[in-house]
Amino acid sequence: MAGPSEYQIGLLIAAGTVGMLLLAIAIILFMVFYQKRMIEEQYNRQKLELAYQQKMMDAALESQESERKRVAGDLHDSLGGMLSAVRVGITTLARQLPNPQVLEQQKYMIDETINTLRSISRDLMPSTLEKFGLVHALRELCEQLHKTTMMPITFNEHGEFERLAPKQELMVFRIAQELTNNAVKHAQASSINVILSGSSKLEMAIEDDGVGFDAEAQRTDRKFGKGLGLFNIENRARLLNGKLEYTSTREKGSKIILTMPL
Amino acid sequence: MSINLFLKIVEISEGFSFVISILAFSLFTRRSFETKLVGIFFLLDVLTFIFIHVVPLHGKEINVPQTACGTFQFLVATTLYYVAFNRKYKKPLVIVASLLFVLSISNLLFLQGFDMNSYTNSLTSVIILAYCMVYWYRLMVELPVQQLHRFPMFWFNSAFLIFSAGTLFLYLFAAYLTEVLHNDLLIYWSFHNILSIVQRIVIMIGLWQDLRNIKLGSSLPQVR
Repeated sequence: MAGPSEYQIGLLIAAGTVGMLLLAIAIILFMVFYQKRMIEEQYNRQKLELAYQQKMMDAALESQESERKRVAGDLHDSLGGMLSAVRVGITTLARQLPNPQVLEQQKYMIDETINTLRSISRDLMPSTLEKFGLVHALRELCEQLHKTTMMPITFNEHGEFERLAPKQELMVFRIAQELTNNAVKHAQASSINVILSGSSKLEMAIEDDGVGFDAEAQRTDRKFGKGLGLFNIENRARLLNGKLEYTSTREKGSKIILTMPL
Repeated sequence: MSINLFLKIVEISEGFSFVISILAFSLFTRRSFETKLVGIFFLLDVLTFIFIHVVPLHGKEINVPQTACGTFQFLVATTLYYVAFNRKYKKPLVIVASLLFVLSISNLLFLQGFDMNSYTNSLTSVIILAYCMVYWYRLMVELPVQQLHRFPMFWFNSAFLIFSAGTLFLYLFAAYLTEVLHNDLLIYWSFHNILSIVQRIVIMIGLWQDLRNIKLGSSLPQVR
């Protein structure tokens, strides 16, 4: 029996080769499109995860703020009211005593406690922020810090400021509060400047002449439970669609700039 | 198809091999290991071509250096894929390479001898196709880069896939065509050489991408 002819073999080779080549090209094209699609899916998944994380973060910060508001209200209305009543009682009692000076010390202590309580309450929920806005609240924050630390703390504003959404104002204020507190507590600074400027974007710079800090080291510390302040600051900045820039050297102190679109 | 045209195609193909060797070894220290291996792969081709022209070989003797070159090229290709697989599957690759090496020597000495060693070539094509498929699979699972076309190994693998897929049927039927039908394979081998030119062009695209990545001075954008 004769085997296949040259023509048949040629045809077989041609068909096989064309088939294999088409298959090879199809595999290459499939790879290119599959890769593209997979990357798109991965990107979308990441976007969703990020949005979910932001929502969670937003919810956590919101519950933190509402808790602060509740504690501030309780302190001011309940404890503050009671202390004021005690203060009035002591004053009345002092009037009935032959020597009212004996209660002067107690009256002084109660006054101090009421002042401290008001200060804590204000820190927890600044009423100035709600009533007069960010600029006034920041100015008040600097004045309060100056009073308590006796450190020169200046506040400068450049440009016109329209009021932001209450949530945004509160976040910017919290960032300023955390950064100024850090400068007072950890930076060994002798002066602090808070500069607020705005036109198309809001820029808040907080600079001190302290020992500076290493943001990267702080982030590492966060893994061990430290550096939470910076974590919160960064989270708030992210929720504001803002950007934080750190400039920090041991010789010149540190400067942190928050930039956010208006 | 005239013999002159056939030789012209061979020369063009070898010219491309020479250019690839030069390109792969330029900027030697900054080139990736894969690129250097591709350079070695095609340098072997060029050296064999020079050897055939320098040493006076007669008749079918011309097939011997080509068979030897094919065997060593397969070892280089296996090393290339070993590197491309992130140095995984060492044991299976060593076993496959050793087996093919032994089979190739046995074929050269006892089976097809001075004839074209089409059995070895067929087996080599099948194994290279398997390497290509494993590589695609890994690429699909790992998604190492964002832009696949900027990944030199993508082009190298495509070139090997196209060449091995296109020549497999030629190798499978080469022995039957020559031994039974007494065909001179001129047309078939011209097609083989045209495919090798295509392979080299695709390899050169990969080399160009590698050069581009070096010039841009940054690593490829990774998939996060």
